[in-house]
Amino acid sequence: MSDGLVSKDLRARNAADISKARTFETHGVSRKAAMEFLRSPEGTIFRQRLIEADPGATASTIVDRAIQQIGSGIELPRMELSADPLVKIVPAGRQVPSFSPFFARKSVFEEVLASGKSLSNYFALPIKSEAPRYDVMVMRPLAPTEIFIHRVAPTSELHGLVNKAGGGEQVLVPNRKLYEPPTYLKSIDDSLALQAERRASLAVKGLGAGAATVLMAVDAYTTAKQYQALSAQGNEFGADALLRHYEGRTAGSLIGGIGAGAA
Amino acid sequence: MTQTIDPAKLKAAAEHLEWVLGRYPDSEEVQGLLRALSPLIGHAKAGMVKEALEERLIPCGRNFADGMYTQYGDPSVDDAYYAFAAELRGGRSPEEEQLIADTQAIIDARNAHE
Repeated sequence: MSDGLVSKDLRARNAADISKARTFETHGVSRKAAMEFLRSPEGTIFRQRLIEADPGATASTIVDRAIQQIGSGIELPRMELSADPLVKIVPAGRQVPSFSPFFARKSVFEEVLASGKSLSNYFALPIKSEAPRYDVMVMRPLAPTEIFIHRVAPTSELHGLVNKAGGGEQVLVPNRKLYEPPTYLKSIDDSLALQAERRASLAVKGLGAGAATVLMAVDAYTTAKQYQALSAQGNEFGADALLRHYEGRTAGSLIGGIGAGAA
Repeated sequence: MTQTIDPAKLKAAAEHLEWVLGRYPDSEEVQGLLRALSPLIGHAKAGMVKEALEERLIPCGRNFADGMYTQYGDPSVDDAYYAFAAELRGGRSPEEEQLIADTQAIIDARNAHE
């Protein structure tokens, strides 16, 4: 758990499920709500863009694709005309999938980055898309075009063992042909790993400026000791579950540092 | 409205999906998907899926939202998966059918202009 993301052991034991996001669940808007949106004028434009992106697709696939994309949000999307560049993070060295509709406004993304939030948690990435280091890819519209903005829904994976809060602003791009191909902008670390290691380390060493900090330090220390004990017993599953419970108590702010903090 | 499974339609959809995925033996992406879905396809073919599934519980949906299989269009992996998923949900609702018909009208109008 030194990288602040899902542990290597948990990954290894669930490699097949993770690689295909087999158990990835999105807790977003309902199918019914998504269909209501698709019947609206904005939703009709959304469907038109999907059709233009993949002219050979059947009507049922267009509808199902649209519902799934809209269902990745905790709210229905709002449409804006925009010439803003959009960005997407991919694990370092990987390419942006050709038809992926999931992006963020560059300006918003930079704000998130500056805030130190965990990108993985904020954008509720599937485990397969997690990485300690990401490449930020940017693409620009060929002309001002409609974008569809919503907040990412919470997600769970591996039957609830891994949960992510989401909440990040996401842009849906139903037709990537209206944009230039994505190009490399820069590489970044998942902030959670760096922040959490530093914060948990401080907490476990007893640094406390107030009751809340002390309580958090005690919780972190106790959890760290339990984690060490379970790991020593070879109970990696239990250790991972312990960390997930801890993450729930601390709103996902510290998980990355437990292993390091206990040292 | 609670939807109910039609075993015959689900079986047919499962068999079609399995056949479509088998048309791409050289694609690790598609074969990985087949491996991931095989248990559920097997259950569907055997008539062992008795209750409709919530959409979020149908495996691998994220990959389709992310357009991972859009390039596999002949035969269409997306079409076959979505048809299977629809049967797993207990079939399409009248509202869904209407939306699909409306979308087909948009496609037809677009094609008529080209």
